[in-house]
Amino acid sequence: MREICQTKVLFFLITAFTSLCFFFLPTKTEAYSNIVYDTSGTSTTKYDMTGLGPYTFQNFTLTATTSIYSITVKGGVNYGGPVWNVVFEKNGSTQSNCTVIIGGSQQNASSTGSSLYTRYPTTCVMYPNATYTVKFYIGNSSSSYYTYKNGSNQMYLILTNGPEDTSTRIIDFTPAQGATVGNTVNFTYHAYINPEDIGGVLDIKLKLFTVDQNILFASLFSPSEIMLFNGIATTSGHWYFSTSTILGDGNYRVEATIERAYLDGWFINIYSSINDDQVHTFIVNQGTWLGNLQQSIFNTMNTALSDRPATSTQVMYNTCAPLSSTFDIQDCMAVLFVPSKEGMTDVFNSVRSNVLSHKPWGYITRVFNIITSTSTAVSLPSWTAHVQTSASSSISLTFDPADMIAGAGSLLNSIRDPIYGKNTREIFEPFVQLFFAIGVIFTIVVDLMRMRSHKLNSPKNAQ
Amino acid sequence: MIIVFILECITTFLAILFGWLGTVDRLPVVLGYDIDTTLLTGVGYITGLFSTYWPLYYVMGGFAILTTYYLIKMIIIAWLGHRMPKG
Repeated sequence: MREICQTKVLFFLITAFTSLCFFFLPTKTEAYSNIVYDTSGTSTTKYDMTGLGPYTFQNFTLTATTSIYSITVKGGVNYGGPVWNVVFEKNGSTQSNCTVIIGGSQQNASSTGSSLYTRYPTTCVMYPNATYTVKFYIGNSSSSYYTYKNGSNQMYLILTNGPEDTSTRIIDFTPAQGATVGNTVNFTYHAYINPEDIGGVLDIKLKLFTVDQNILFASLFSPSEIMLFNGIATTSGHWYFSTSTILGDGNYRVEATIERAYLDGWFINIYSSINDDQVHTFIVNQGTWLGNLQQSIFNTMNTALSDRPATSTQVMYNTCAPLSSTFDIQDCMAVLFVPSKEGMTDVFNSVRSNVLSHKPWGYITRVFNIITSTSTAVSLPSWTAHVQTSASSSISLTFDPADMIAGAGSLLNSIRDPIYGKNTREIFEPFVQLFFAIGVIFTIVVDLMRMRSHKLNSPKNAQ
Repeated sequence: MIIVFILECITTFLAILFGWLGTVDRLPVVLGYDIDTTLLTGVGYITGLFSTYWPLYYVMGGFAILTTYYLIKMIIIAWLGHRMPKG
């Protein structure tokens, strides 16, 4: 007990000392300037850096037009040796190959006069047409440096376009990642085909997956995959495809691929540097509970895997090529032996269409297809009772459950709360989801604990 | 990649092996009773009920998860038996 008390007192003293240190740190005296972000050689956008103090991020959005940018920083911060940093983030994740530490030594704007400090350009490889958040900051969490302005001199951050990317690649496809769209869904696909890649089989596909039917391995039986486009590139340059279709409410994924293949697309050359595979998840009007859960797991796994170069076949090629600068035997082994989700989906689809559709198990598959189909909603049947009230007359009492329930639903949906404008379902649905989720988890945990309890109380353990 | 390739080889082998059997597009009609249409209508009623009375969807979702859990548990017990790890 005495030791615990001593530890607590020590912890308190350390905390108090740290707080005092931060309290007496010098405060900024002047903090104003502008940051100029320029990707074409001329100043296009100015960002007011007033108040940009220690470890305060100045963010701006950059849609990459090429894969390579050079970064030049001009300007000054107060004397003392801060570090300038530029960090590139994509979808909230720092891009490790784009983290650029610009500074490293102090730069006093007043001493450099009109010739502001220019850091050597730094190359950053970026994915074209992807949107990045560029975070510029000085110092660190414990420093007190700030931007400095000398007369009309400003702080500059210049991003210079690299050479145009002419590699065969997926440029963009819609619906965008995480988008919520209406029932009429427009699918677009934009790719670039390098002239040198024409010849042989260059397979271009756009596939749609209905996620809500893929619950609990239902994809093994259910027709959840729709091929929107499947063709072979025969001409080079920019390539476009668009179509629209009507989809029911729920969760979906759209997958765009470019693959080098043989024998009319039967075999994919997994080592081709052309191969690219990207997936967007989207919702039509409103996602379902399990569909949202699946999409969330998918996105989490995708984000986790994207940190390892396993999801992109292009990067996989670089990872497994011994002469590549990014060669990594561990990642290469993981890519080779850990099956990808897309690969397993292809296997499941192949089993479903080529094996499970045949007799006799085809009957089971058909039953499963019917059960998991979402396009067969039928109004509930009504029931009419004829009651004889006298020898010559009778009355009919009709019970229509659809009318009852749907009518009540319409009534409840029409009533909205005055502040947020939500109806009964929108208010109570999260609580219902939470209630059943907790119930399911609790049931499983209790069952697992009971199993262990049985083991501990078994006659064998008693001995 | 390699695992997927092996699985695809097995799938192709099975597809060749059972390719001569007929495919099933719909369930048969037995003694004039159309099983396929009946099942479609029945499932349609349930689907209609779920879309109208939405809490039922979550009830069935929870039921499906629990059923899967017990199924996996049964498979593990049947597979490992007395070799189950002692807690």
